[in-house]
Amino acid sequence: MSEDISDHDLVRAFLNGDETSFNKIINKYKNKIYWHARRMTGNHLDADEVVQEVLLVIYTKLKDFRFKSSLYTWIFRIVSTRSLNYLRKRSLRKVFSFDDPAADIVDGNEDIINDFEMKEKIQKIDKFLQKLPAKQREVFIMRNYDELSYEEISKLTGKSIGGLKANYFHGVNKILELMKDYENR
Amino acid sequence: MKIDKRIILYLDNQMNDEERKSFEDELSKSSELSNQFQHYKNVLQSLKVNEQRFTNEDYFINLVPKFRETILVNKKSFKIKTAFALTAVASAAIVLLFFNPFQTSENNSADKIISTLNETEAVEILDYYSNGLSTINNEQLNGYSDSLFSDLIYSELNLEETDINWVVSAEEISIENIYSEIKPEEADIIYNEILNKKFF
Repeated sequence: MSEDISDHDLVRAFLNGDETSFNKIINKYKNKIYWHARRMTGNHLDADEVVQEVLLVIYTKLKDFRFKSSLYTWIFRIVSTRSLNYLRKRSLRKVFSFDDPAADIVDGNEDIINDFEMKEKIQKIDKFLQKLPAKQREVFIMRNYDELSYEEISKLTGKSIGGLKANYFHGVNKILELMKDYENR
Repeated sequence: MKIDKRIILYLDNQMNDEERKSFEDELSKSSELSNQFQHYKNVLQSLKVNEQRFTNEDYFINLVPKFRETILVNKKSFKIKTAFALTAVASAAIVLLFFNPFQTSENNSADKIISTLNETEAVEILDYYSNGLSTINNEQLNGYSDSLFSDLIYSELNLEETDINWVVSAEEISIENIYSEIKPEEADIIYNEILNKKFF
């Protein structure tokens, strides 16, 4: 509850011209923003692009924020929408690109993970997640990593709870099968 | 071996009380199901990594400054674009002002000036500008017409250059002499023949 009040104050301060309040808001949610975008896009460079876009939207649209939901929910909705839009743009780029397909392979060295073993593990998880359809991936990430309830996810995405449960079920099933195949290699 | 779907539903808390109880009973009795359950639970758990412990914090520290820098660059480029657009508009306005392509031509302007003059003024101006138009005097004109007519006649009579010299030097034919010796009817015939003759 105190978090909401704090968010409220930060937003008010920002709207009154205090630019540092924006920094504080972003510092508070930067990890959640980044990792959601990272899991959705599957690599650091794309995630960074989504994050910069999200910050721009937050910065320009914060004046329209009416506190009808929590700031976290509002920001999360922006991250979710922008990530899906980015994936759409990226798949369109791949379809209409005449470039060498090998050029699309992202350089794994461009990452923010310091530890080598951890980097490998996270990049492996990124690859598994990328094999899920975007909608299943989104629900899986929100459920498994962001630990949101179906009601919260439904509010964020505007989808029915039944549909979300079905998407999550298929998503988990596919991930488990992928992991099984990987282990049996 | 296929994944038991009930494991996913159970782990996701999607079972009602009755289903849950029934599954838990089976789980306690079947070691195979229990092993499978434990395995998939571990697999899903292994996907949850505390990445924040291993991330380069510099990225997050520089996140907002990088964003602000982008905004600044965008603002600058917007200013430059606006300045460029304004300059282009101003240049276009200057060009239109000085070299107006829609402006009426000079002839039209002269027409307008003439239309404002009364008859006397117009005649005076026309007289003034027509003085220099006729600069060829009658002597020059006669000489020129002599040569023109002589050439035409020599050509018509198929005379050679030597004959021309002879005719000119021997008889001293001049156009006035020819005129004086030709009757008006003959002159009309010659005149009509010359008019109908195709020289080219």
